Amino acid sequence: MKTIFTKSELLDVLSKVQGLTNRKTSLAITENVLIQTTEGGVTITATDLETGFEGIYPATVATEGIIAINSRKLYDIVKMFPADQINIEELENRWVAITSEAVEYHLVTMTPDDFPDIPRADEIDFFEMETAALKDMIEKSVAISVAGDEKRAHMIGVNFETVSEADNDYIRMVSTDIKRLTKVDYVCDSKTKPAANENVIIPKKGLNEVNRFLAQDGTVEVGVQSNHFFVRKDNETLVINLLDGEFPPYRDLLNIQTAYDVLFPREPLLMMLKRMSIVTSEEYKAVIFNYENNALQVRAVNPNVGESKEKIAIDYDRESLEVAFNPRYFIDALNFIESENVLLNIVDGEHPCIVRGENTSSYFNIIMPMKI
Amino acid sequence: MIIHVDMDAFFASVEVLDDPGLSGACVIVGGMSSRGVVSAASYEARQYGVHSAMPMYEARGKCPQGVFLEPRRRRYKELSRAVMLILSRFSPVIEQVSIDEAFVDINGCDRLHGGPEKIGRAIKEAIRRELGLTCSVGITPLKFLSKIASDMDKPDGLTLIPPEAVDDFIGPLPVAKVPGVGRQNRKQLERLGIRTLGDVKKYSTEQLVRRFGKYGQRLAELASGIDPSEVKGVRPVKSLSSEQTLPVDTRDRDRLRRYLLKHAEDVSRQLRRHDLRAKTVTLKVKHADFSQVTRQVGLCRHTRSSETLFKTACGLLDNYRPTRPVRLIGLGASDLSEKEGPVQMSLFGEPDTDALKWEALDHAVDAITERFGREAVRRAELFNDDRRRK
Repeated sequence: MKTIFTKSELLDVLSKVQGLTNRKTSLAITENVLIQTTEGGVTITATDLETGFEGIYPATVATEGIIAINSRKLYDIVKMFPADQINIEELENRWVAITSEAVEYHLVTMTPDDFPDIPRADEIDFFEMETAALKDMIEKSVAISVAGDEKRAHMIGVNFETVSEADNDYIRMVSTDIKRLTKVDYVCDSKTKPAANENVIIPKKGLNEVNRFLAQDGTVEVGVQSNHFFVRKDNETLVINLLDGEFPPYRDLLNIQTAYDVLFPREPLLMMLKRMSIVTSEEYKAVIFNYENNALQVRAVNPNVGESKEKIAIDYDRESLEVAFNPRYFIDALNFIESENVLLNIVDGEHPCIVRGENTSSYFNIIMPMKI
Repeated sequence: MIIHVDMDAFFASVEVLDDPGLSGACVIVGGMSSRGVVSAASYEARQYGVHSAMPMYEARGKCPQGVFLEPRRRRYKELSRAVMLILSRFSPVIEQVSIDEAFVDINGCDRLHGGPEKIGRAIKEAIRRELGLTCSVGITPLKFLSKIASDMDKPDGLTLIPPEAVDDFIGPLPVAKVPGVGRQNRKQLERLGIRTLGDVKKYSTEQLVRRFGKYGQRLAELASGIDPSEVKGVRPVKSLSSEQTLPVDTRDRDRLRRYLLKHAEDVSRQLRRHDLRAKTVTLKVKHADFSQVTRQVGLCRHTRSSETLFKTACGLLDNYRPTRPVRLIGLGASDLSEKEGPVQMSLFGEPDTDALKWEALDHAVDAITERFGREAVRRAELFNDDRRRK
């Protein structure tokens, strides 16, 4: 194998795959990237056994071949390489030379045959989405994460499905840690024609990689096939192994009885809860919401720190209501909502509260109260 | 002044109290299994060299004519509470150290009850007249000295060391008598030529601190007649535990788990009684060769659910995988907190709320136990275990 890379192009690819190749897996070879040169160009592959990456790039190929080279080392070398052109050539016994006129590295590499196969996106019905919209869905969904040793699919994964409601088709992501749940919808337009699919569960770890992988601009192709979720942008593809498991029935949670809606100005509510969370701690997380007489009073009591209370005027003339919440969940939700006003739908102290922007139902945050 | 009240051979005395026929006999209370130890011995039995913590078989060897009795903890607790109630008539500041001893701070009580000696005698008299039990009291200005003093004239004694006599008393006091000086410390102290608290003064505080750390500081203070420790009215509970020496050594995992279940229920019950929740669970295992290990793990939130304690301890046991036979197993709970604030509920009624359900169940079991006794309701697993034994 012998080829010449442009430094900036190679650096760009290698930086995208560092997240995958730096992750510990059961196979040592996943610390490597696979570089294959063919007549048409160069294919670069990386995987952490859950998420795989494949990119095909034009390059000047002198001889065809394939190598598996340590991703981290190659990245460091390329990052600091003093020339714009980088020659990579396979020598004997899996030694690889990385050279320019003035620089010469000889690296030991691994057997490319040991590199795990990455599922191919053959015969998939891809559909097109705006990249920014997909990134937004992912960011909202992965904001709910769980501790490292959790194994339940519906906690470490995001529910992905297509939904038809009224006259619209949606692509929907639902994410939960069972204490709260987010639902993000993307309205399909004429270009987006996803094949109706059953719901699948995509690991949040893999979605984080997708997010890192995508720039904000343009469009991206998305597809689901058997056990894989594919995201393709031009010549690069990410493929994520889906999780096995049942997603809990969440649809009932989305039903809103508008009679319970209370309108808040977003920014003041956010700031009030941020101020409240100063006195909360790992041990005393709760903030008590008290709805009464056209006002919401919130208070936080922490025996180890102290207490605080604050009032905000709202339209509220129902019976007085007391309910406790973790303010962190509201802060997360309000940070993602862009509208000036938000609606909090609170039935009572036992039912979840739905937080959403005033004139939209594409993004719901459903927050379970704490038992007082 | 501080009074230390120490009940005389408490468990054995209670047995004599409830069965006057035992009066004058060598009464020995303790575990009856082949590997039990002596919990208490009457003064008659002590003359034969029987003392508490001695293995039962050894006690039987030394005192074959003794009356050996299984402890009746409930009864002892009942009388212990009665003793504390009596003490509370003399001062509001009482620190119960164990089931049969307590400190009473009587500073400022003399106008009400008379001088220290008078109070000491009144306490002894009240306990004797109302409960039929004797105790020994030590009365000194310092907490640690009072504890030493109560032991000097047992049984039924009273030792008073007025402030002006403290220095003379401390000087020749053997360091071995000082609470906190163990066998190891004593050896080290002896190597320095320190046998009495008076000897301690031969060294500067700095030298002692360098040698013994914080304890060196305390020794220096005690030697100069300073004891900053106070009688703590209510001692905060720092940890709760339950453990037992098994009837036979075992490496049977299922069996060990069943013991853990019992201990989990017991610790959970203690937590409920104190209205506390724990965030750390400790597993204690002692092997046949007496080597001991403890394993600890933190929980994600405070709990007192017996099920959570049990599952967590089982997890620790599984990770530890004892290979040698186990002689003793126990479960402890620490990192305690008073009633927790609001608890996060789950959207789907999943395990996180299970802990709450278990707590509610434990609570219900308490109510049943209170009315119908401990045998009325319990885990099926433990029930089977009992039947198997019978």
